[in-house]
Amino acid sequence: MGVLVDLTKCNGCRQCEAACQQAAGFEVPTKKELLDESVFAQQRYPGPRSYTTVNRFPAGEGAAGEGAVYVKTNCLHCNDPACASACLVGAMRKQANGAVTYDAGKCMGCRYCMVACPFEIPRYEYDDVWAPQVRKCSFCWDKVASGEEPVPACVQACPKQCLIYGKRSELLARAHARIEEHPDEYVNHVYGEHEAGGTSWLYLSAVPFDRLGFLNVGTAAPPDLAETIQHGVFNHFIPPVAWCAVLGLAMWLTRPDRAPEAKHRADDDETPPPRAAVSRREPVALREGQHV
Amino acid sequence: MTASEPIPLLWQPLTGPKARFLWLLAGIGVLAGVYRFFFGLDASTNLSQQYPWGIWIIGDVSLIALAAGGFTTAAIVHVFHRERYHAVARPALITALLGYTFACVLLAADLGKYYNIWHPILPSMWQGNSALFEVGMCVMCYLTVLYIEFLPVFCERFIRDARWPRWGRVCGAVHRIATRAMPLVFVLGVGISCLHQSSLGHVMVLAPTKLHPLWYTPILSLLFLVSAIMVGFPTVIFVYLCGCWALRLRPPMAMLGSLAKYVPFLVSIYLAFKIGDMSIRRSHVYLGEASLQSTTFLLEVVGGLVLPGVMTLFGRVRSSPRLLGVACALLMLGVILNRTNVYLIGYRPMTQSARYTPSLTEWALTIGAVAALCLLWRAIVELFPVISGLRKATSGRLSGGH
Repeated sequence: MGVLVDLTKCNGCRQCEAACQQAAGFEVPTKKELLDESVFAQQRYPGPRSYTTVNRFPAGEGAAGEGAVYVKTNCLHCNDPACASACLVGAMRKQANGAVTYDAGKCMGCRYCMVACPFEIPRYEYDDVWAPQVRKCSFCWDKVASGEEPVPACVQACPKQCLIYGKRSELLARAHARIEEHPDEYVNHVYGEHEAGGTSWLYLSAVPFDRLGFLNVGTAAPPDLAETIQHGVFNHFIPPVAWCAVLGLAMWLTRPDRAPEAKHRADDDETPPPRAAVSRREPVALREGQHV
Repeated sequence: MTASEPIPLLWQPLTGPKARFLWLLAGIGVLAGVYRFFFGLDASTNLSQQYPWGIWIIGDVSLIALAAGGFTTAAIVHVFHRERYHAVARPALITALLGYTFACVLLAADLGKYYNIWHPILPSMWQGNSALFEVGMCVMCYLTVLYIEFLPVFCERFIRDARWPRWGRVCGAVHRIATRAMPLVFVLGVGISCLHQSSLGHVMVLAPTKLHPLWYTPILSLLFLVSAIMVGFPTVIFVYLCGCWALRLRPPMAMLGSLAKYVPFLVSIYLAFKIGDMSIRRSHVYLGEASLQSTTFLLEVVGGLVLPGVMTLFGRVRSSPRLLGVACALLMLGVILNRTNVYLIGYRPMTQSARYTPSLTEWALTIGAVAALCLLWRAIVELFPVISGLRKATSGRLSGGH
């Protein structure tokens, strides 16, 4: 599943932000705060206490609509998420419905997911002394997957039908249909179709995405290359085991001659030590440097 | 099996002026650790949402890289049986042991939920796609290997000590078993080391958009492995020289100089990989951008690689404790700078607002860990049969750390 965001329809009401805060159990902005436009003065990124933010960008020349474009930022729920590939204990997981979820019980707080995420979305609760967690949008996974809610809270809250929840393939078809129908209203680019290997969240815009704070992350999914190399090196553990075998062979081939070993045996009352571990004593070179 | 090995002196307190300075640094480090523990990461570090990894992680990665001397020495002495270098095997083992141990200390400070550090052991949490999982498993295994390799050293201290005959017999039995297992342990140690030294580089392959193209390469793992192998002997030589200086021994320059003959050879292999990779990826264009990154890259390659590599070509350098020490230190600094470049300076998040500079607490804990490492190294060398001939040479007072 996924969400199609049509940026041309968003008027910056930030109802999605409020709904998200409510659903996540964070501080909910009041009606007065939602109407306060001063929040748009500078770009706000999602934080450990806010999974989504709406920012305002100047539409610039040659764009449809008013003088501003509002952009909702949140976890894009990659098809092949780098955070999940990074997490060494599997706390980050891509669920069947597309959500990328986080399991605080598994997490040890290494923050590799934050390093790996090309969209720079996961946030850390540095201020929590005893049990800090990674924080990011969960796509309301627990509620949507259990059927408690039909769609994520932000989608439900949007009064402008700017967010559409549905099957990713259908949303993509719909996005391209809209571009085809109104080629003058949209740039011919669905952000998220190929970005970082494709994401569950898809964006339509009238203004080129690089002017709206969207990161240029390339089309390759970061785990593709990284996992291919790693699984090549660890191919069924054959290369590591073969490497150890080569080392063992070298150890056996270069073993010291029997003569000095026999001497060791003579001054040793214990069983003869294995060849490799022989001669821990009297390093030749130290003789010259023994004295102060 | 080492009847000829002299039983070293008992503990003599490290109370010289240099040692006292190290005690002070280590003490401040402990305070910093306590502060981190009770007040959390936000109060003690300058880490941010854009820069989740700081100098504690660099300390981990650098300590592990420098501790590579443990496995390269084990390889040359125990696998390839170059008996000539036997004298450095145990000091190198202690260095690696402490390097990895303190890397774990720094890591525990850095982890938000350090009490979950053991989670990768649980099969239910295995995540084989993660380079860090590979590192975690290997570091745990290698730490075990290092302590097993230390067992014979530990036991030899007590085997023939008349004061505790029963304990001595236990140690003798353990020693016999450990010695028998040693060939397997050495092979495993070298094998595991190669795996995680490379995986530490592979960690950053997952961040192609953030790591500067001067360092981002699919063969980052190979470069990390080769540089770790390269810096192994220089670290061992440097530590040995420092040990001799602290213990007032005359360094065995013939042996150390001969070991240093490998260095220019290893440096040129690493350089060949690095320059070859650069020319294939055509990343040399970034050298001209006169940025922080291009400067530190040049510093890393010229000051920390070419210069010491050329230095060690000369017999005069290899036979002089001071010059050889400088060359080895440069190589060590070069590798530390390389790790810093890959994990911090070359790491450029696109949404950054401010760059990361380490906090006082972060510095204090890092420096304190290194100081404690030096003190412990010095104490272990004195307590256990690590450097042969130590007892005779130091029958007088001992002063100073190293």
